[in-house]
Formats: sequence, C-alpha cells, structure tokens
Amino acid sequence: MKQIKKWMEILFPKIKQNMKSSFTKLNPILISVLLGLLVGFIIMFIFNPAQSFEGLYLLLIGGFKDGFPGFIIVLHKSAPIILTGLAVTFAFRTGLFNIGAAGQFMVGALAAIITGHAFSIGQPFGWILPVIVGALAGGIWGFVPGLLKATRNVNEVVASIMMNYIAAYFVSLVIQRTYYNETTTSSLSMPTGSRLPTIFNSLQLSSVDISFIIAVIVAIIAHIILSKTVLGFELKASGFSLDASKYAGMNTKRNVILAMGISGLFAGIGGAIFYLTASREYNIGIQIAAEGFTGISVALLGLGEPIGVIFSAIFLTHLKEGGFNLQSLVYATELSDIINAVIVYFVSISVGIQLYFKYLKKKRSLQKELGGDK
Amino acid sequence: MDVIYIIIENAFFSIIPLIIVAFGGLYAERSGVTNIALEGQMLMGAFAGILLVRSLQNQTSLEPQMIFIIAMIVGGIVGLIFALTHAYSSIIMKSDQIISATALNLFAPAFAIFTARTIQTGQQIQFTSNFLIRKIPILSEIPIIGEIFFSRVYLSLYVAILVIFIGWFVLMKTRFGLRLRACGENPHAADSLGVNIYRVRFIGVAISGFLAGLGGVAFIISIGSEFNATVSGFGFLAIAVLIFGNWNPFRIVLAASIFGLLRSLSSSYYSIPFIYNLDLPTQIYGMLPYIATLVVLIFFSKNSKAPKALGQIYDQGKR
Repeated sequence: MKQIKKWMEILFPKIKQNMKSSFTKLNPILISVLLGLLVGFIIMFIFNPAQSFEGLYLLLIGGFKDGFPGFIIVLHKSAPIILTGLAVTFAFRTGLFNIGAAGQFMVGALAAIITGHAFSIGQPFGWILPVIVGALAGGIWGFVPGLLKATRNVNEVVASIMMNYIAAYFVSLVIQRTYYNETTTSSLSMPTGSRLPTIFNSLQLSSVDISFIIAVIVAIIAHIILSKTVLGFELKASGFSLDASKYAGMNTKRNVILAMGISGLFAGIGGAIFYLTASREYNIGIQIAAEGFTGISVALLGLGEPIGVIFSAIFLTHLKEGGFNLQSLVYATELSDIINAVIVYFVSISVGIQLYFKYLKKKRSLQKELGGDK
Repeated sequence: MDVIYIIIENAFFSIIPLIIVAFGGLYAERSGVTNIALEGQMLMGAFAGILLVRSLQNQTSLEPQMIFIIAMIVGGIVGLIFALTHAYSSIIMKSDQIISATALNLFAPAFAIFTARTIQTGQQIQFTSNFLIRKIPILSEIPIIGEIFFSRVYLSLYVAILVIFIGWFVLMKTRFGLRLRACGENPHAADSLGVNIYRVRFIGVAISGFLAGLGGVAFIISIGSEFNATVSGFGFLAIAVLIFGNWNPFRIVLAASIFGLLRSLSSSYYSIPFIYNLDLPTQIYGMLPYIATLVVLIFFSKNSKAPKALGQIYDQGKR
C-alpha cells in the first residue's frame, strides 16, 4: 500500500498539491453555502416553525425530488446560466465587471430566433447556424462597451447597463415586426428544423436537449483560452494590473475589447440555446433577462474558474428547484433566491475572514518566535 | 405650452428619485466605496415604506402628506440599515465591493417578494395614491414657476431640492465633507492626518443607503398605486447619472434632468404632435434615453474625475 502511494507521488507530484490548493479555495464556498442554508432555515423557522424542517428537506433535495430524471432536468436547466456565468467570469478575469450579460443574452436570443425561423435547415444540424449567429450578436453587444471602455474611457458597468435596456427595447421591437404571435404577445414557436436535438425519448425528459452538452463544451473552451493560450495569459495579466501589463508591452486596449467581446459571445450562446426549443417563446414585454444577473452569482461561486462555473450553476439550479418544491408548503419559492444572495454575501466577506485567520496565525508564530528568544 | 408642462411634470417622476438616489451614491463614492447596491437599497426602502403606507392608510386617518413623510423617513432608515451590511463587508471585511453589492442587489427583490407572498396572498402591495398636491395657494399663481413647481407636484420634489442643497453644502463646505472627499482621493494621506477612514466611509455608505431608501419610496409613490418588488432599474440608472454627472453635485442635477426629460419625452410622445406624426414604433422612444446617455458618456468620459481611491480596499498596513 505504501509502495503504491510512493509511486503515485512520484508519478503525479502535482495532484496532491492541486487537490489541497483547490480544497482551501473551495473551503470558504462550502462554509458560505452552509451559512446560507442556515439563514434560509432561520427565515423559514421565523415565518412558520411547524413546517420549517420539512421545508429544509425539500430545499436540500431540490431536483432529486423526482429522482434521477429530476437531476437530468436540473443539468438541462443549468445550461443558460453556465453560459452567462462564463461570460461574467471571463470579464472578471480581465478585471472587468460585465453586468451586461443580460443584454448580450437577449440579443443572442433574438438573433437565434430570427435565424432559426428564416433558415430552418432541419434536424439534426439546423441548430448550429442560429447558435453561431446568436453568439455573434451577443459578441457585438459585449464588444460595444469594451470598445467604449478602451477608446473613450466609458465605465463598462454603466455602458453595459445602458446596453441592457437598449437590448430589451430593440429585441422587443424586432420580434414584434418579424416572427410575432399577437395572441400570446410572444415570438412564434421555433420551427422543428432549428430546435436543438433532444436526447431522451421518455415523456418526462422530452424537454431535455443538448444545451447542457454545449454549455460544458463552451466552458472547456473558455478554460483552455484562459489557462493555455497567450491571449488568456494577457487577459489575466490585465486583470491583475493594467499598468504592469501595459508596461510589459501588451496591447491592453485590444485585450479589454476582446475580453468583453468574447464574454458577450458566451452570453449570446446562452440566449440562443435558451430559445432554440419547443417550449419557449420570447415575450415582447420590456424585461431584462434574469439569467444575466444569475450569471453574476454563478461566476462568483465558481471562483472565477470556467470549470467551477459548471458546478456552481448546477448547484444554484438545484437550489432553485428546491425553492419550487417549497410551493407545497407555506413558503414562497423566492427563499432560494434569498439563500443565493446570502451565500454570495458570505463568499464576499470570506476573504476578510481568511485574512483574519492568516493574521492570527502570523501573530501566533511571531509570539512563538519572541517567546523562544526569551 | 401645456405640452411642455406635461413633459416637465412627467420628467419629475424620473428626475426626483434619480437626484435623491444619485446623491446617495455620491456620498458613498466620494468616500471611496463603490455602491452598485443602490438598486437593492432603494428596493428595500421602498418595500418597507410602502408596507407602512398601506397599513397607515388602512388603520389610521393621518393626512396623506404626513404618511408620505413618515414613509420616506422609515424607507430611508431601512435603506440605511441594509446599506450597513455593505459597509461592513466592504470596509471592515475588505471584501470585493462589487461582489458584496451584488449580494445586496440579489437579496432585496427576493426578500421583498418572499415576505410579501408569505404575509399576504400576492407579491404586489397595493396602496391608495392620494399624495398629489394639486395646488399650493398663492405660490401656484406665479407665472411659469408656479405652474411647474407649485401645482400638480409631489412632496418629494421639495425633498429632492432639500437634498440637493444640503447634500452640496455638507459635501463641499463642511469639515466632514472635506474629510469624506479626502478618504475617496487619498485615504493614506487622510489617515496620516488623523482622519478615521473606516468611520468616515461607514458614514458615507450609511448616508447613501438612507437616501437610496428614501428615493425608493419617493419613486414608487409617484408612479402608481402598487409596489411589485421592483424599482425598474432606477438604482442602476442613478449610478449612470452619478458617473455622467462626474461625481459633482450640480452636474448630477443637470445629468438627472437631461435623462428625466428624455425619458418623459419618450413616454409622452403621443401628446407632442410633430413627434407623434413621425409614426415610429414605441420601442424606439423607449430606448432613446438610454442611447442618449450612452452617447453623452462617450463624449464626456475622457476627462472623468472619479475619486482616485474609488473601489480600493483601505488597508492601514499598506501605508
């Protein structure tokens, strides 16, 4: 047994180290999740003590309430927020806050809807063109704030917020004039030839299509760009210090534009896959897509890592399903959103908590040293 | 002439809350703390204020204006308390200010909907809209000014004017204001001169939460007769106004007025004949204010005067 361990350490020296470092990174997230659930439980207890334990159970069981198929549906539903999460993450790593993922998501949806109706090529490859066009549309929507930031010093947060509203009105306008169903005030339902292929034959899982697979592939691509390419290195360098990377000869303006553009691409794909299905139509009411804002918490819980984003999106979807389960009790489903917010808050202060523990450790070791001198 | 009055009256719906909330943002940001959570603080204030309005209307026979004042104060206090969580995390716990603010923005609508749905049947909170002041005697007789400022107005208009002058005076003319600005520009220098950075920033964020909550109540009261757990992105717009106003009190007023007038033009275009005759789709008018803000930002951002230490975590050890 010991021999094997030794060999393992020789063969894969980095694994143990990686495991350890990712665990210490994950630790604050896990603690925050527990604290968030605790707060959720306390709120349930305050509003109605009698049902609070059952509530907690329903919340935790989330998508698994319907067994394994339920979990498949959770995976499926997590796909759009994986993509908006990736969009936010990508900008985060470059030191930009992309609050405009919602707008990019919406124009991505618009482009996919238009293309899907105009060129319904047919299964199983009809979805590819709409997704690509959706990605490009989202990319353009992200590119604009990036360009303004790089060339005119416009704050990307404000520019993105404006782009969100412009997107809401613009998408509503175009849908109303093109593929519009007046009775439902929504877009026409997607032609079969442009829908994403479904995977399962059973009735319960009939809505599950390949969107989760697409999302995971995009996440892997994002991971490769960020950690294996020169571009990714430059983007991260800009994120650490804009001045230093400029001094090192990087074209920081180009990097800002590229980061926002690529970020928009991801959100655009999210919007595209969200609407390339039988069950969803775009309503023309002026509303900012919630997926964009959920993407922010997905990115935060994903620790700024594309692979982490997959897991955090699944977790948040699971939690959301748990919130839906609460409908059978006295509680409103929004409890899951409260827990989500509390988790994000604790994650944000966990940095401070960690710093405090480090400080304590340092103090203790200093005291030890001083004590030793005596 | 009447058309112009209608446009101005409508514009006040946006201008008043934008000014109040943007001044809140001003106090947080000039002290060096970004406050993207204005939206959440507005929403929490509005939620508490409107709940109070409804119960006061149902259970007491107070004057409408009195109820409005109480609701604004309570909304402000709730906004303040809520903002303290942001102050705690971003000043004491040295967390990323955008992350903590995002948490607040996520929390507020969820909490409002959850509470409303748990204590009553739906998420909308209805109230009677009887807060409009039709005419103020004597003053409304003054030509033009009387028509604009003293007839068919909400009390919040005068609150906003008060906020402008007090806000400007405290920030620019008092010792506290000077210290607050110093914290946003160069906290280490301010610290070396004996200013307690943490305390000043805490107060800055607290003021910002108070004004945001107050602005939230003012906003909801003037636009309808129900609260549906949203403030329509006005907190975010206030941040845009703040940046567009270059962190300067009077330019914020100007920025809010331009934005409010554009928004009013776009929502009451049907009462202006020559614009109505253009026969454009309604969505075009809807997006106009946002496009205009973006264009203005493009021209004025080059020489932006953001507080130098904005968003930076203050660490005494780094001095």
